[in-house]
Amino acid sequence: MATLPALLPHPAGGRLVPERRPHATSRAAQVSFLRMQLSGPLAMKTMEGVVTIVQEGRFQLTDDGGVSHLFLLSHDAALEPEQLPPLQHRQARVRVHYTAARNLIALVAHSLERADMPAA
Amino acid sequence: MDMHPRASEEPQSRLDKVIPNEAELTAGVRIEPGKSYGFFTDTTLCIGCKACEVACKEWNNLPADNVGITGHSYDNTGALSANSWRHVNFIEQAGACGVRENAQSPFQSGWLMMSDVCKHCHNAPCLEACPTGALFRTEFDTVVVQQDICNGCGYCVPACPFGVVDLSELDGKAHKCTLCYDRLKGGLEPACAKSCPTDSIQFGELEELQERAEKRVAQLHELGAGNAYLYGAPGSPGATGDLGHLNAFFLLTERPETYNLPTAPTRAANRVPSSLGAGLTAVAGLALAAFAIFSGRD
Repeated sequence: MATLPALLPHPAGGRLVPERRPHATSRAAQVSFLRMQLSGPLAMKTMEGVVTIVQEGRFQLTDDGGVSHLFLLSHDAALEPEQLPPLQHRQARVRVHYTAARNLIALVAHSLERADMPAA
Repeated sequence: MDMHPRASEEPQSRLDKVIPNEAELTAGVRIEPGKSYGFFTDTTLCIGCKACEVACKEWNNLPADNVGITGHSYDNTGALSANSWRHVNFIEQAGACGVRENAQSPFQSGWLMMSDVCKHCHNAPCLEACPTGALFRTEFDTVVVQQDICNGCGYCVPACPFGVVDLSELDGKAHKCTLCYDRLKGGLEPACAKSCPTDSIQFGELEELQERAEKRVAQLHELGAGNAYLYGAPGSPGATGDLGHLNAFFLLTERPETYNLPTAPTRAANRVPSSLGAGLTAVAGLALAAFAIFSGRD
């Protein structure tokens, strides 16, 4: 049976308002909230594929399913636009860590590494 | 338009290589370094199909932006931006009190459409404002941003009198039309001009384009469209304020403001002497006032 919340005097007008008690499942709710945030547009995701087109700081990555995705090099990426054309010429397999872009049909690449080479 | 004699050399529909000097076949011009190239946009021929916008985004790998409906007629891109280097303006011509008139004169009197783009000014203010040299003039007399040199200071943005240059929030660099610099180097016509189905956007050598535009204005005047004029050609509106001329110029039928173009654009550098003079005068005035105040205390 649900219990009624305890009533406390309102600090401003003396009216009674329900007491704000910590919810019994607050930790679970927090974890759920964080999961929701991490799966949202700001969550960092990873994709592997081959760089097929490069224009300035923009490149197209074709994944294993043959689907092409447009990426923009983020300002925080440790990579300059002139480092992208060699990846295209070599048809290099790369791993991109990315986020979604707001109001743009493109993905934002924050880091890029060769997937066909062992990590340094 | 007559078929170029070279067209018979390339009869196949599937090509295994790029046609050398392809612009000769598509635009009737051989692209060579050291010459001036540009766009002549005849707005009376624009049908608002946005093929130029799509071709530009497709070739330059630019993402679609402003996803959604702007609420402004058929315009979905809204304005030129870091991700939209071609933008087709849709301007509905309403009659008195916003009510459409029943009788309309010829040449798209109901709608005005204009494919806007970077003007590649002869004296480009963005290039003059750039402190790093990222903006440079190419061998084809066009203005391009070098992405690896741009530091995203944004000085070029307010310097442009047409509001063309834009900073991208994602990579922090300035972006604008390159007049398909990479295509020009390969002997190809810029993507937007090649895709234009009505030849509203014409690419070519600048002097030839200016002559062609003058003839088109005369032809329109003969046909009864006496309001046709050039914007950005030498000695015409748009080529003001020491800009010289615009390598991408337009044929308009209404006042420039109707197309969101400034009536008399100027170089930002023109305002430096007067601003500097005003600043120095203010400093001198404050120094004199301070001297007068502190010297009177003794």
